[in-house]
Formats: sequence, structure tokens, C-alpha cells
Amino acid sequence: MEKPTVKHILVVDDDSMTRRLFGSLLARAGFEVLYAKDGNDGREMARRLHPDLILLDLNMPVMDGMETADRLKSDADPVVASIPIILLTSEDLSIEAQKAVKELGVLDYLQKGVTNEEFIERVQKIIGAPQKPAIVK
Amino acid sequence: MATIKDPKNGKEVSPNGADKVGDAAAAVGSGQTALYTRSLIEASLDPLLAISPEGKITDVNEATVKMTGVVREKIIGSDFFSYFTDAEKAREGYQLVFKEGAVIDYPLTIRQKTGKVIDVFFNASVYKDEAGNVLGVSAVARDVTASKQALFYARSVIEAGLDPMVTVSPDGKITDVNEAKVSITGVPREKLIGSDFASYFTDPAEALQGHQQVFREGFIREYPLVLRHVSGRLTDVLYNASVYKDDKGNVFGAIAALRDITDRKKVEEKLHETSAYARSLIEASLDPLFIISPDGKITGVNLATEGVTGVTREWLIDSDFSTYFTEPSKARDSYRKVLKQGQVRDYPLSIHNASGTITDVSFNASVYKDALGVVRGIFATARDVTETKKLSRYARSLIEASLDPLFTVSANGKIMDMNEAAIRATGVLREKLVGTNFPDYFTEPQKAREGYELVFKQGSIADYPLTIRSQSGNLVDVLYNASVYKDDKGNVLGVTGVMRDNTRAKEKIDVIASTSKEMEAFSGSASHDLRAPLRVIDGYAQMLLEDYAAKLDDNGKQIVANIRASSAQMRKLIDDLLTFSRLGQQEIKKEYVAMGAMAEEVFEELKKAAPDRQIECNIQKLPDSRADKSTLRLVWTNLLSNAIKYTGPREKAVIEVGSRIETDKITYYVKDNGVGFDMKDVNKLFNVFQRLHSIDEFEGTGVGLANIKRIIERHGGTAWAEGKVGEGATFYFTLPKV
Repeated sequence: MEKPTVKHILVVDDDSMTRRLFGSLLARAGFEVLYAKDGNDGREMARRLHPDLILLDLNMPVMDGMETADRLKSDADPVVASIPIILLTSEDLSIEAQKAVKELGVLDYLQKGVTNEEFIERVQKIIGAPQKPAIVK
Repeated sequence: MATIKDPKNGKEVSPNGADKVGDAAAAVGSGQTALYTRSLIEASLDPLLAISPEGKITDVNEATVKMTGVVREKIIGSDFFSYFTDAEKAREGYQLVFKEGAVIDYPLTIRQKTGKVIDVFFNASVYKDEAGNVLGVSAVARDVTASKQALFYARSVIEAGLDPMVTVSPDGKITDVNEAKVSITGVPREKLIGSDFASYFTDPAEALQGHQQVFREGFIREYPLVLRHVSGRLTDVLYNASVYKDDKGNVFGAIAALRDITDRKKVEEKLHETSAYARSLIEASLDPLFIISPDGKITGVNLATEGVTGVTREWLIDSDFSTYFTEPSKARDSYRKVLKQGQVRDYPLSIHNASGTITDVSFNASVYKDALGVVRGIFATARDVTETKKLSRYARSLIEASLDPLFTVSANGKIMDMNEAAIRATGVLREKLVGTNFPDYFTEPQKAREGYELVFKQGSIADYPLTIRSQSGNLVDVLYNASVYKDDKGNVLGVTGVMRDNTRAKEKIDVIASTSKEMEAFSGSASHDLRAPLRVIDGYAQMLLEDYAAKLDDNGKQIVANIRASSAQMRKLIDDLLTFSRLGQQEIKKEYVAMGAMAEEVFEELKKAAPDRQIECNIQKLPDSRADKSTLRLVWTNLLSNAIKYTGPREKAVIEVGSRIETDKITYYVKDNGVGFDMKDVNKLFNVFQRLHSIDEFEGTGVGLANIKRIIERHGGTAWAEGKVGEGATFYFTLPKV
């Protein structure tokens, strides 16, 4: 059976510039990108659209990445609860992110400072390369 | 007594020129009054001057001669203003006298012939003849170098001007009045003089009775009367009066002051109108006066003398001068001193009042002579120095108010005085502290002894750390701040020192430390937040290069590459700053570190990053240490990477790592044959963001050495450097010995 050809990635970050940078990088690598500006929006979109991967900023106002991840992972909808989550952190060595991996079932965490190439590499390692060809190559 | 000039007509007056006292009008301008005034003027140790409306000095006393340093003959007729440092200010003051009628406490500075300057307060007022014609200005200068004198003077001037003054002949006729008296009666001066004194009161009989009592007993005090103004307004007054005599003791009138007790304030305003003539009389009489014969018998006193001794004039006259003092022998000594030296100033004595109270006074006394130059006796004024004593009590209260323990210590280390805080700190009673050894109250007596000995040697000491041990065994860390104190001759009497509780200071340091921690936390989070936008800039710049390479020419590509390079540089800066900030906050966890192995390991790692360089690194055997492993690794990384970096221009880099074991510490060093630095920059080297080379020459952020310094200092060591331009550098750091 053919898998869906399009892979959706939800980027949740309160900083629009950061959100759009990662979105652009993912889009040009061939992924479909969805944006959410905070934890509440992120949860809503995750429930409705069931993305293949959620990139979740750790440090956000109102509902931070830890809490958002916790709620997503304990969502009543098993599909939502099973979506892999990668936390984005600006810390070199985030203790919180490590804790989230250990205790909340978050898949991994990524330092935002990683190079463009490394970033895409990490994403592809988790959900595979997109079926549809990249925009530019 | 010297030759006297009548201040009004300038004619010489014989000291024996007393006429009958009956003629009221004559008494005012008579030689008698002038003589009496003159004696007071000359006896005054304060300079007195009479000045003509043109500003020429017309009369002076001996004190003026002394203060200006110019002989009397030359002063008379000279320009008044020429004696001051600021002639213009003197002129303004003079003009003010004419405008206002009087000035009080007008500050001027007299310049002596020798160049010495003396600060004085001038009190001056216009004086007039009976017709009201202005004759000139009479001025009194008071040396205000001593503040107590200024205080006293201000008081005396106020007291002096308050009351209506009148002189009355024995038959009850008014012979002279002042402005205050004129205003309180509403009768012009011309009409007052020669009229019946008693007629101005609601009860003339009672007034007359009081007046007679003056002549019968020599004085009257606080005799209540009611004065009637021509308008019918009544004024309650207290009548104070005393007889005045010539130097032969002949009574020729009474000087009376009427103290307005209903409207004191209003009278105060009349101060400025008070005539100079009457004022000079009263002013002098406010201090207790003693006229003493050469054999030590009192021949004359004033009301104030009676007040201070509590003995009436009759008993005072002809009694032994010295008996009124708590120390008669000292009083006699002062007397002999006056006779020998011509005068004494500020001689401290205590007058014993008949009621038992004691008044501390300061005596100014001078010899007075008759026309032939024969010593006739001593004219002495006693100044109440209770004010000064109050000041010293005030000082005492300040000492006591100090929350810090305070001790005064003699040259041989005995405690002379202390405050309550000192008693609390030691837990020893005042009586038991006095006379005991100062060093005994400290945990290190020898150090305490050295401390106060240092004060005697240097004059003062600051923040000398000591620990007080109280009787109960309590220890208080203090900082000893002390200085010597001297008498007025400059002899060192002892050491006064305050013990500042250092525990409080330590608390302050803690506050500062936590503030700087907050600052670091702030700069840490600020730099942290700089990372996100920087990442975006670099991310897009990279995308631009990758996705639009075809659309960019070489110049465009270079521009984007520059953006990326700068972003990278900034990122490094932020990372280093974050490290620096973190190093200030992180706990230092000390553990065993094999220093040699660590240095070796770090070097091998660094060498890998520079494969084409020829580097000879000689790491000697290094003593191990106890330190925070991760941060110490950063020290080695920074030092060795610096050594590799700055030996870049050398064909062969030679790096030496060694150590030196000292008594309480180990010094490690990294020496290279690189470009070195100028020793004048050595202090800048360890500052944050300090770079001695351009970024194109040697890359780096200038944070590395600052990090090293911080890490080493947090380990209780120090870091420094030596170098020479073109000849390499050596970086040292110490760690406490295990």
C-alpha cells in the first residue's frame, strides 16, 4: 500500500521569524508546513489535521512547550497522542528538554542553532524523506 | 586710666572731672558718663570703633589697635574700609548701617599689617546727639574664630537691644534714654530728658519707690511696673536697674532697663533703633564684670556679677576676688598672670553661686592704669561658657549615639573613655573598662596593640580588622578606624577609634554580590535572546546563497557571505558571553584533577584542528590539583588555543607548559614564542571583550582570558601574564595547594 505522498509538519513557535525560517527550510526540503503561534493553537491544529511531526518551541508564553507536549501526549485521540514531537530549544544543553524526552514521551530535542543541513537531516531521520520532490534542487 | 576723650565733643576729660550729679542734662554729656563708658570701652577685649559719616575712624580702643596691628595715632583719621580683605563689602556694610540704623553680625575679615587675617562679626549702629543729628557709626567687632564667642555674641546682642533703657539721676530725672524708651512712652527724646522718671508709669509712687530702692540698695531686679504710652496704651514692664559710679565709687545715677513683658517681639524690632551709646553700655554689662584692686579686692561689679555669684553688690565690694571661685588659688594665679602679662584671655574658672550652683566661665581680663600709668587694678569680664560645655555634652551624646563601639586609648594602651556600644560589645562595665588594657578585649591582643601603635605613629588608621571578644565569649568582627586627638597645643593626648561592625559590611558585600549575580543573569538571558534572531538571519542568508545562487552575481554572493560571516562571529561572541555569565553563577565543584593528563588531552584535541602547523609542545610533569573539572578544562583550552593561535606567524611554534610549587599554592604556566604583547596592556588583557589584535589578524572574541581569570578566581587563585612584543607571552595561574 502506498503511504500518503505528502508529509505534514506542524511548527509551533511564538516567534514568527523563527517559525517561518524553519517552515521555509522544511518547505524547500519538500514537506508541507503548518504553523501555530502558541501551544493552544498547536493543540487545536494537531487534533484537526493530524500532522506527521510536531516541532514544538520549548519557551513560549501562556502555555510552554513542556505543558503543550504533556497535553498532546495525553490526548484522548490516540492518533494525536502518537504524533512524534521534537522540542526546539535555544539552550545549548536544555535540562528541561532532556526531562521531556525522558518523562513525556517526546521523541527528541533540537538546538535551534544547528545548521540548516543538520536540521533537515534530523527531521528526515524521524519521518523519512518526503515523497514529493523538493521545491528547489 | 588713659587720657579720655569725650566721644561727643572730643575734648579731653579728666578722670576726676565728676561734677555734681544733680544736673540732669549735664549728666548725659558729662565727663562722668564718658569716663565710665570709656573705661568699659578700653577694657573691652573686642575692638570698638567710632566712624565718621565719611568713613574715617574717629575713635578706637586698645583691642582695635591689637587686632589691626596699627598704632592708635595712625588708625584715627584713617579710612575704615582699608582694614578689610574686602573693602567693598565693608563699605556696603557701612552704608547699610546708615540705611537700617544698625547692622548685626555683619561678617568681615580684617587683614593685619602682618598679613594675618581674622574673621570678625561687626555690630554697628548709628549714633546721634541729643538733637538727633547723626554723628557717625559706632561699631564692635568680635573675633568669631571661636564659634562659642559667636554664639555668645549673638545672644548678648539680642539681649542688649531688647529693652527700653533710661539713665536716671538720684533725684528721679531722666538723663538719657534710648530709642526703645522713646517708642514705649511715645514721648520724644527731648521731652523725656529732664522729665520725672516716675511720671511715665500708671503708679508714679510705686515707680519712685523702686527708683529710691536702686539708690538705697545699689540695684533693683525685676520690679514690676506699668508704663503708660501717650496714647494711653499700657505696657507691663520689669524694671531692672543699678547705680553707676565713677572710679572713686561716687554714685551719680542709675541705669535702668525696662523689660517689656507684654509685647516682647515688638521690642525686639526696636533692636535696630537702639542707640549705639546705650547699647555699648549694656553690652558690656551682660557679662559679669569685676573691677579688682591690685591687692585682689573687688572694687566694682555689675548686675550680672551679682547674678552669677548670688551675692549682693554690698557684699561683693571690698571682698576677696578669689573667694567666689571653686578654685580660689587658680583664680589668684589668673590674677597674678594678668598683672604680669597685662592681660589674659579665655582663662577658665568656675564661679560658685551662693545657692550652690556653679557657672563655668572664661575670663578675659586686662590691667587698667591711671593717667600717670600707675596700675589701678584689673578689669575682668567673665563669659559664661555653659554653651561651650553644652557643645561638649552634645559631642558626648553623639559619641553615645554611635552604634559602633568607640574607645579612646592612651599612649600606653589604657582605655580612657568609651561609649555604651563599647560596653555592650565587651560586656564589661564602664568603671571596669577604664584604665584597663585596650588589647585585652580582642582575640588577638598583639594585633590590637600594633593597631593603636600604628595610629600613634601615622596619625590615623582605617579599616584595620580586629575581632572583639566579649566577656561571654561572643566574637564580633570589626574594622578599626582611629585617629589621634590633640590638645590646643598640638600635643597628642590619645587615640579615638570606632569599631565598625564588619558583619554588617559583609552583609552589604553579599547584597552587592547578589546584585552582580542578577546583572550576570540578565546579560545571560539577554544574550540568550539574541540567538534566535541571529539564527534567522543566518538561516535566510544561507537559503539565499543556496536557492538564489543563479540570480546573484559574484558581488551579491560575497555580500551574503559577509552577512553569514558576521553572524557567525556574533554567535561566537554570544556563546562566549553566555559562558562567562554562567561561570559567575555556576557552583564550583572541586574534585581531583590530573593536571598533566588534562593539559595533554586538550592540546592533542587542539592540534587536530591545525594539522598543517608545526607545533612543538613540551608539557612538563605537573602537580595534580583539586578543581572543578569542566571549567578547569576551559582554562587549559583557552590558554593552549591562545598559544597555538598567536604562534601562527612562526614557522615553528614552541609551547612550554610548566609549574612551580610554593608554600600555599601551585603556579602553572603556558609559555609560547608567539607575537607576544606590550606590558603596558597587561591590565587590559583579562577584561571581557578586550582584544589587543584586530579580528583579521587573530580571530577571537576577547572573552577567553576573562573566562580564565573568573574561573581561577572562583577557585581562590590568581591569573596574570607576562610578555614582550614579538618575543612571546607567558600566562600564569595559581590554584591553592591541596
